[in-house]
Amino acid sequence: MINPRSLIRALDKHWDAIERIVLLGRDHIAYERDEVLALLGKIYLHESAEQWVERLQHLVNAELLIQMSHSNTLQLNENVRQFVGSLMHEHELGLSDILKARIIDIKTGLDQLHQAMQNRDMAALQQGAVRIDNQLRQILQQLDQDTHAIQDIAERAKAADERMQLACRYREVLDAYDRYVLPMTELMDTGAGGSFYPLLEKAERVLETLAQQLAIQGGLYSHQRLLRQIGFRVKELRQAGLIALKQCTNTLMPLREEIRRHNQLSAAIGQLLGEVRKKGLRKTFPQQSLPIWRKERLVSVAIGPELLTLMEQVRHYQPKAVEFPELMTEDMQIQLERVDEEAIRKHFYQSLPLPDLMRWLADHYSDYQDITLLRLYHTFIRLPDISAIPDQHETRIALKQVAIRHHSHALESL
Amino acid sequence: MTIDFAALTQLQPLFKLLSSGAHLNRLKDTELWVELENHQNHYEALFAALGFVLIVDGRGFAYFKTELASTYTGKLTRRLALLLMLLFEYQADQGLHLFQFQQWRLDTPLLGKLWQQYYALFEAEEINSPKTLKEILDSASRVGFLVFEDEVYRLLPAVHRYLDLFEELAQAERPDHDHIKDEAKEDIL
Repeated sequence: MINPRSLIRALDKHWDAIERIVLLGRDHIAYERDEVLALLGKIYLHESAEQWVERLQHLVNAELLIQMSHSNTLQLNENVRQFVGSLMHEHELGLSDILKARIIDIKTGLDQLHQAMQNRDMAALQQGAVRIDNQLRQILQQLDQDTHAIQDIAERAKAADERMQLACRYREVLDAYDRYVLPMTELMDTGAGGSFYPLLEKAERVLETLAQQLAIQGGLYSHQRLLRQIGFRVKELRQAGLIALKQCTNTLMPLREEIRRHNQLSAAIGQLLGEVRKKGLRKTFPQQSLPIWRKERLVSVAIGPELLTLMEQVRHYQPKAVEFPELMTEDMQIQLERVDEEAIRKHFYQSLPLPDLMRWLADHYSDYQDITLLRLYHTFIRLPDISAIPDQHETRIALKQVAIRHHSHALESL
Repeated sequence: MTIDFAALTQLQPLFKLLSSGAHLNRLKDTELWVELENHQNHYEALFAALGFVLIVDGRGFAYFKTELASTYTGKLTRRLALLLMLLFEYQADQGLHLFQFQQWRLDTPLLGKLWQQYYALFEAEEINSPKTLKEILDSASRVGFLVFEDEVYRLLPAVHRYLDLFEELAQAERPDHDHIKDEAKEDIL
């Protein structure tokens, strides 16, 4: 019985070793103890022989490695192999027959849904829905894994020594094409021959009708939602199937048809792209190895402060002192005052006509601030029912703080 | 070694081009290239004295070597490496000779096809549209890996820097490669 937590901890601790063992799994089924120890020795260079033995023991105790029956040889725990394999995009090509079987099972699931709807059996409806969803997810996963597996096969063929015979190098590719891509193409034929798309289309229709029925007849919201979610997944699968098939064909065709050029460079690129696909670009190209070039920088030269000081000393330079004016602290704020404008205006209209408006304001309202008088002046000469004519001669008048020179207006009512 | 400055007639444009980080390509800057080839020793010595390491590659390109990558060049060079790999991969699949890459016309339809076929790898690098591919090529054109003429990009000899790297990395990844070859030879014997 595996303890999941200790298994995951061990997986973390010995990840480098597990990664290697999974990769070796392509060519090996099981390992002798000494083989595993040698492998550990290659990975954990700085550890002693005792530590390798300890690691091996730990791997066995945590059941990452388990003993094969009838022998002492060790093999990787199948659960771990699948899990790590899927994380590292290491997959074996699946069987197209499995896809076929799953599709048939979806058909059965749809019938079950119909039946359940007729009987108003909501538990059965739920069961059927989950069953279909499960198959859909498995198909999606398998499509993804198969795409990776096909790319893997293609990359191996591309990266193989370019002097090998084509027939030998392409054996796996041709095999994969005949065994997988051809049946898949048949299965996914959008015409009458295929069963994939008609079925998915039917599934979509059925799910939609059922969801509508459920909405009309009344049903739990969660049940309606369940049906709709599966509907979305069906749509996703239709899309994914098409993409997966296209990608597989695109990958294998140039090899199958023997169009592809082979030389050392194309082999190298094929191999590197495989690594990029699995590990990412950043891990494939160490930063230092990539070609780099100078980044253009604008360089300007200026004399440093040390040199300036030195020059000052040599020339006995005295900086010219400039006195700055003191900050004015006087209260410059405009005082607010109460002006009875209405009364002044009344008085103004009574006094019309006025030969010299400014004089009149200064005579009668000199208590106010200058700024108020000036404002009143401007208000009055703009009154609509007044005609204001500026005087030809300039006059000068001293107010409280300022004296002004102006052509005072003579005012009369229109 | 005495350097005759009067003989180095193209010193200024040559230095301007190289110190900006660009690659000098034989086919694009023929005049400068010929000048550089004629006085290679002198230029090398002069630039070395100024603190630049001039690398002249017989396949037709030259550049100043540097060890320091800015974050910008680091990102660009990685993306360019990916783009070049996928381009060569695609062209190999089309049955084209890889080492005649200078004759390829990289136009919008070709970039579109690259994008369609390899979008998963591009998107993993946050290259989210064919437009970004163009931007990468534009940036690479500025440092002399490509040239943009008549609405198409063409690769320049400086691309060999990447191709060398690809082969070198792939070689390093399979240390048992030679070993297998030897075995194969023995089998044949």
